[in-house]
Amino acid sequence: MVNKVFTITRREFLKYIRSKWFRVFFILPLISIIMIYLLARIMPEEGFKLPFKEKEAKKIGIVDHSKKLIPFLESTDKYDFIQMDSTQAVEKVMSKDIDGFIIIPEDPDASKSTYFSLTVEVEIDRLAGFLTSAAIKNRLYERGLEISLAEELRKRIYITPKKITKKGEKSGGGLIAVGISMVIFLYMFIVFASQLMARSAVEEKLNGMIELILPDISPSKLLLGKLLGVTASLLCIATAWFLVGFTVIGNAVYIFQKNIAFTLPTGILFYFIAAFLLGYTLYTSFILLFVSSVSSEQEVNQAMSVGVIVIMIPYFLTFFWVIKNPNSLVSVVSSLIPFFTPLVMPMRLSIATVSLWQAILSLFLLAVSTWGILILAGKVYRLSMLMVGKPLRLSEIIRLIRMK
Amino acid sequence: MLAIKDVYKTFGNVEALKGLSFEVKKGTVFGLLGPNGSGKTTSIRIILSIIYPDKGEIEIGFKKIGYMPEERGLYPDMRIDELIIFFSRLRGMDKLITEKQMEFWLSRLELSDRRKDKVKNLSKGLKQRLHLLISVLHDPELLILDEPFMGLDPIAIKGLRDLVFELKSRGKTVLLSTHWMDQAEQLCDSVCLIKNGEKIYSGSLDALRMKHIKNEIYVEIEGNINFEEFQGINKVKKEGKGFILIMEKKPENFIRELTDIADVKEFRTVYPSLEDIFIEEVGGE
Repeated sequence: MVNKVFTITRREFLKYIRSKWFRVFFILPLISIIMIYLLARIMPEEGFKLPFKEKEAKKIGIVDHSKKLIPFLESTDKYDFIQMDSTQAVEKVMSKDIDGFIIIPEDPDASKSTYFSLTVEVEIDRLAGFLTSAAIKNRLYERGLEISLAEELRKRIYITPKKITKKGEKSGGGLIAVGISMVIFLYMFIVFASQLMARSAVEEKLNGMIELILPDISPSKLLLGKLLGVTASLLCIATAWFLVGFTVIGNAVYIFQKNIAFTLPTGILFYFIAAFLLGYTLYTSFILLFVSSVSSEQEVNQAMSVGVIVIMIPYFLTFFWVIKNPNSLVSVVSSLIPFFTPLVMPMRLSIATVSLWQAILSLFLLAVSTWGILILAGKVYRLSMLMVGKPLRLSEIIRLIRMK
Repeated sequence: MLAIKDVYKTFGNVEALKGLSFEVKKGTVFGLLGPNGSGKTTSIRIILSIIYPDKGEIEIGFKKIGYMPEERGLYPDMRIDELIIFFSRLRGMDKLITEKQMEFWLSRLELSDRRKDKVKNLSKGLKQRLHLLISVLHDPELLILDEPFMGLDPIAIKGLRDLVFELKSRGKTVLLSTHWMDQAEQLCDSVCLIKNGEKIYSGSLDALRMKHIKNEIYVEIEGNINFEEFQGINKVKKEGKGFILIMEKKPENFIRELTDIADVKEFRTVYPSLEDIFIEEVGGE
């Protein structure tokens, strides 16, 4: 049995690693790793800098009708502020001598300033920041206060998030990032994998060799072999990208001139891995219920989109509700429903203190449901593999599940 | 021996097989004949355990079964040798035996110089040969061929026919399902005619012919005779150098009467062709 499943897994794996998309998604990160490592070592003293000419400072014309802000507006290495009148400013923009100009009204506190340019300025908030700094300095000057106080007045207050657990407080910032990354990664992996898996599952049906292969291997073993093959090839790609991430973190001292480090508690790490594997199998099997009965490539896309849309529900719930209300009734209940668990519970674990029984129960229910839906998908797959014609409706899928 | 006993199979509201029974003896070529939708492929799928019967028994006295289905798809991006090794692994074949069998069949089916070619680059005929190779790779005792002559040119048909005879001479059993009555007639020792999932006839081809024999004789004589003057002749048809005479009853004494008055060069009973029998038995709908 193992040999047969392995034969299918091997073929699926080789099929994908020989494909063009695999070369792009797998070899590209490996090249990136080497490049990051080498570049970080070539320029360790100055830090990591891009090997092309730095962009010149943007020239911004200032038409200050108030005459109050211009004395306090200081040019930087990114923005060069030049005083001019409005006629001159329009001409210079048209001749591309400057990137744009700002018209400051007579009373900048009462009316808005306006920015004019040939293109839409995406860093408009930064320009507003420079004007705000100049306005603060002007207000201090008018009240006879020290202008140097401006920097002190603009100083921001930062908040570090920390979780309180039974064992005491724990740093939460890195964990939240990991939780969000985990949910995004799982969702993207599932969407990508389900497309591959769906096509792979019906490959023999569409190319007309299903009858040739079925005497040699049962449909459930064929499906299992394919699932393992697709997963193995995707995990290769995922590992390659993880390595890129680790290389960046490992070389952060060279690249960003600072260390990036976070710790992930072992229990949460175990939960993440288990939820990922079970969730991936659950969602992929769920999509297979819809895909097994198709008879053409076009129908694969239609059937698959139904499954992917349904999986979007826990994804949106996680990012629009759970992330803000991790311990609300909706979040707690949904994290225990197997279809929501793989995305909702990792997010809750990352941002809130979750009871141990909830984590264990959710994982148990997820494991049982995954096993159940895998069996159902295998059954529908077995019964629908030799069927031709229109894709099955939900009622027909239920009838197939009830059949012997 | 392979025995199908009183097998029933229903798909939704459609009764595909209604108590079908037949036997395939070892070392023979057996034809499963019937019109489209008669239940031939369903019977084959049940024999191969691809699907299961609702009722009935299947006795299979063969350890290894080879199968060439009617629909002949293959993995297009695999090379011929890769595909052969893939199927050998699925069948749990030993590496050395695989190599030996692969060499033999590649050579026998004239595919040796194409072994590194991808399946997608093969012609329809070559794909058919590759399918055949895959079905016999593990040296099966029973080979099941579903519509094997479909889409083949005359040379390929002859090649396949020769192969079936060769397998039979090596003691193998062949079950073929076909619409090609002339090929079935040349190849089969026994047949099963099915219609709407029910058996119409199962047994030897000779017995089927005898069952459908008409009172027809072929006669070739020297000179001319007016056959219509003979009593008991209903119809006379010119056939080649002679005549086909359709008699009222069995022509037991006719030859004696004929030799008394004419120089008879050839005299034989006309057996109905399998095609005629097939049309008579399953046609009319």
